[in-house]
Amino acid sequence: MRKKILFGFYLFIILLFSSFVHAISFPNLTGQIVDAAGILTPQTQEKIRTVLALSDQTVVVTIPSLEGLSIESYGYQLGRYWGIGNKNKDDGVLLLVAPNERSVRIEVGYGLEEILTDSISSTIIQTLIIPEFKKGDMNAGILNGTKGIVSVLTGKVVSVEEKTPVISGKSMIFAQMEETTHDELLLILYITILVIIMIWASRRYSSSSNREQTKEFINPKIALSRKVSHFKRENHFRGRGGKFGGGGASGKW
Amino acid sequence: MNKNIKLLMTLGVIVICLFFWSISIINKGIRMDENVNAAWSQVLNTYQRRSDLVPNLVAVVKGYATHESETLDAVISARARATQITISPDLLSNPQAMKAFNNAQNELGNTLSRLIAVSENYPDLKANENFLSLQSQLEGTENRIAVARKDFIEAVQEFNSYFRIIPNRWILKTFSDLSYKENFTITEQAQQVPIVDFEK
Repeated sequence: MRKKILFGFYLFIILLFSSFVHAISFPNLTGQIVDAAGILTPQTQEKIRTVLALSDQTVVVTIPSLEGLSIESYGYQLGRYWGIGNKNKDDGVLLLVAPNERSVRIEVGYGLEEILTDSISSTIIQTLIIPEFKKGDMNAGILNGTKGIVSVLTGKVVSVEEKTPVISGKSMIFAQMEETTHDELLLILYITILVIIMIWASRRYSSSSNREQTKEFINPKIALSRKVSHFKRENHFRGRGGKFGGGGASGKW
Repeated sequence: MNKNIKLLMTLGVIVICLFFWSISIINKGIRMDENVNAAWSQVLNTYQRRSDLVPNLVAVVKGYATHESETLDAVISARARATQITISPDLLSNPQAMKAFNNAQNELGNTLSRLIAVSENYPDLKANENFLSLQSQLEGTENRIAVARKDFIEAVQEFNSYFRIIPNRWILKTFSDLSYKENFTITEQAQQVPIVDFEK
């Protein structure tokens, strides 16, 4: 009996310390909308999703708890943890809402600090988000804020994208191939790399969707539902190693 | 004869292994040292950013808060003192210089937060768009300073513990010019973080 109590006590101590080690438990990055606090209705999520389609490294997050941190401290660490934003552009943005702490923050990646400046972020929070939050309409506030952020970003980002079109991994290899057509050995090397990449990519995706694909041939209903869920699922969304340095603004209501 | 050659070869192999092992330790130390330097320049950048904000902020506040010349003067002189400190390359391994630098920057931070606190008494100032923009910029900059300082503290901790661990210490002290680095202390960090509160 006594041993059991002691054992329980040790277990408690160990759990306590392990919870200190992993001080912050961040939610999983399930898509461009992470509603961990569960305050967004499906309709709002759908609207936000269409807005976010214009800005692929902007993420809307609601969290149930800041775990005792300030929202400023939580925000940049979450951004770094997820790696929102492209690696060398650092163009990630988080709209972070902590309803229980009544705090909201726009966390801006290094690369966008000149576009989505602190004062613009602050204006978005004070004029678009907080008035709705004060009325108690979280959904409208978050939607408004997202629209504000994306319209500021797309005003400039669109032209930036025209200058440097995104080259996918495959086409980059083809481009390199064209440069070195004379060298047959290199060509063979590139084809080998391409094949390896294709095998790797097919393995990565087949593990999740292979079964469903085979069912498609049998049941068209499943195929349709799969397409819909594929559209909704956003499982492919990932951070791309963007960096954060504390830029942005926050507010309370 | 044959035995001697074998012995020599084993010794040679051991020496070569030791050589490459030391090189890898030194190279890792150099990379960490560069990390510290990068984190430090980020700290300096953010302080510079705050320093650049001060003239505009002072100009705006001056227009409205006419009775606060004392607070304004304190900010201006604190900024002057902070910018006067020349940042020599050996600052990171010089405790006194580091302390002076920190004190000057903390002083500027404190006077600025006092200025923001005082400006709460002037409704016209608080409604001024310029002021609101500067206030949010200052708030963002203070946050960047906190982040940059935290990153710096972590980089230095990583470097210092790598530097002090036993085989590394002998190798790094004899074969490299790397040295133990000064870090920000926790109390300074704690003082630094909550400076401007938008809501108050």
